[in-house]
Amino acid sequence: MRLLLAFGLVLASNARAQEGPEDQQRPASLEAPSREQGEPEPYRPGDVVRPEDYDAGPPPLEDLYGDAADRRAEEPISAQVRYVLERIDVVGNKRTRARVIRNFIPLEKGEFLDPESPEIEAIQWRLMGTGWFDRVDLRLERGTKRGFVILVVDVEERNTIVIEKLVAGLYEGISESTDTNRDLIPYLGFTVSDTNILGRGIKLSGTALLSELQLGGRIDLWYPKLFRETYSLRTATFFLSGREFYGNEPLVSVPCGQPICPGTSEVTNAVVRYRRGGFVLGTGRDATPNLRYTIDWQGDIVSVLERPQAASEIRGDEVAPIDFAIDDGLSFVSLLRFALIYDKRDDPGITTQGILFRGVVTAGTRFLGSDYDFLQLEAWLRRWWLLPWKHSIRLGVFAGAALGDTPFFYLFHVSDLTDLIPSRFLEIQLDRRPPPNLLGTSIEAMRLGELAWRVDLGYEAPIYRRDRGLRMINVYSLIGLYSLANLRDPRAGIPGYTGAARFPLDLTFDFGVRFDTRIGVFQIGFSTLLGFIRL
Amino acid sequence: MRCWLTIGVLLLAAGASAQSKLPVRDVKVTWLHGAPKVSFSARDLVDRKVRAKLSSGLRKRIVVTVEGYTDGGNKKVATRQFSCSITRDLWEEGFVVRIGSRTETVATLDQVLNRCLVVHGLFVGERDEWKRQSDRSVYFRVRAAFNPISKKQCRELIRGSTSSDDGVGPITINIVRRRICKAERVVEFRSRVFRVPP
Repeated sequence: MRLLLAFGLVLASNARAQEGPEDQQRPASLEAPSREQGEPEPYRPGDVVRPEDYDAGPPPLEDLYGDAADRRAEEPISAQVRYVLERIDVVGNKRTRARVIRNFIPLEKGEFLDPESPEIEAIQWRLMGTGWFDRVDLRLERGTKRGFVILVVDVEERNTIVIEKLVAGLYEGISESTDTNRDLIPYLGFTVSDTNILGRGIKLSGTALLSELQLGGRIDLWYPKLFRETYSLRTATFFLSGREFYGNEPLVSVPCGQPICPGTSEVTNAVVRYRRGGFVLGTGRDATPNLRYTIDWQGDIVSVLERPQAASEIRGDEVAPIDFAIDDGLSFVSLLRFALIYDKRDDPGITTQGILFRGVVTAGTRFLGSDYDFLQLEAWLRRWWLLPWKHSIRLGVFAGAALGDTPFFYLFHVSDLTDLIPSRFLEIQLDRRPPPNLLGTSIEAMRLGELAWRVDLGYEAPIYRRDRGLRMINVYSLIGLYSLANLRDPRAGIPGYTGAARFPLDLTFDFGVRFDTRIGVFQIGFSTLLGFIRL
Repeated sequence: MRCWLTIGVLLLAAGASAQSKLPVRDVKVTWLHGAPKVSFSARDLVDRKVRAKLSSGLRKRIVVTVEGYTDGGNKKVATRQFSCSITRDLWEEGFVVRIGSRTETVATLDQVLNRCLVVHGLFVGERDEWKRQSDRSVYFRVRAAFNPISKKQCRELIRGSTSSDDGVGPITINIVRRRICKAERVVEFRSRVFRVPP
């Protein structure tokens, strides 16, 4: 009897040893598995020990969950289990059409479906990424035949109207050439979008610039998947009523009817008042998750309402006429634009590593009915590096050239190159001031130019970090060098300046705080405010 | 300058305080080969909604991360993470559970939760990482997340949802839809303080 009992115990212990992973029947207690008590015991009786193992050092730290050296979870391999997709059901949608949702699912009825495929999981994220839903759940239900399944997409829609961009500040402006008041004028710019118009997945955006002297509005319509589910359709229309400022205390000749008539007088700036309306039609495609391209046609009608008959300014030691770079009266611009964007940033709000490249070729030609023949080339590259102490540095490079008869709004503006005066918004120049000229060079004579470049270096440091609400506060600083020139300027620089001052170069800088919140990134920069102090 | 220093100190203190605000739970720690093995339960990650999702027939993931910190300084000493991939088999009535390269089939959802969220003897870091902490006080922070989105997917999604233009004025707001990058449910807690054996 004792012998039988002993035999039974041996059988039971062998059976347990053969169960493999020791926890399939494990109780949910927090007691550690019994093998731990016996450790360290790398070998059991009967194991073959190779000579090279004698000096192998301590054994690797392995447990039920893998190797302790693996700090990050592995992506599980895909299973061989497959179902056949019987149909796709969309539930919970009230405004968004089921067909629009099905467009995001790369599966057709009758195809095999791998329930462990990361591609199926990605459908949920892609639908969430549209911004149309508060919740997206995917589940499988048994189909009518064994092995067949129904994919159910259960969604809960959300408000799709969002403020995409908001900018505000002060600029210094004058209303016309003969205006002697230099007022500080507040401005507000914003973009509001509805990302799911009529439940068809169409995005409608409205952008506006509001200020006393400069006004503008633009409406954009974007249909993300129009042709073959890969090409988008973009269309936009805009209307701008703005002023362009030229020269530094130039001599202007104003038409009769103005306070000074006839004759010339020295004024703050020569001002061209204009209205501009236009239409854009284009398409684009994401070639890869990181690379996309767009092709657009744009037509502009420009009406110059008021401008000096002539203007000139002193540049260095010579008097140079001011080219307003726009035809009198009504003129038409017709252009094609190709843009290539490579975006591999870790985060578009607060980037700490990655790369962003944007190259744009714009060509206006009489063959398309344009009054202006020109070619504009632009490229900018930004590269971020994350430092071991979690701060980041950024290197930015920009270069651009405008060739031919380029209207002023497609020329490079000094306000877009320096951080010390507000940049243009909706291609409307906001501030009448010249660049600060920190290096004392001929940059003071430049407002618009055909050749531009900028190199900058930024540094950003987090000073607060959390997982929710206000996620992060970063302080940032940036210093850069830029140049703006015209093709007709001599290669040796602008005459009348000596030494390095002949070359229109200057420094720019910015510093401020970025708040990364649940709804977006708020940036408060101090450079444009500092720009009001004469440096 | 003094003002900035004060703000800096306050923010650091706020960070440390956020760590200490985590609830303290029972985490068993044993030391083997100079490294800690932790055991704990995070079963409360699973509520009614998560249970329903785990039964959806599609793969769902639970990722458990355990980090060891020095007490007081809150300096991270070691990290360990494992992922549990769970798929309900609709026609065979069972669950396929994968942890790393190991795959097994269990019959019920409770067995799945015991396998993935009742953690037994998980090594946190390697002996070299703990050597320098000998005789110091440490604690462990546990985070269990249901269906977290991968960093790569998150990057691609939020990149498409925002404009990348720089600000044009002193105040700029750029909306980034961060909410889409959240795990569907997260449970976080910390252990009491342990002393690293000499």
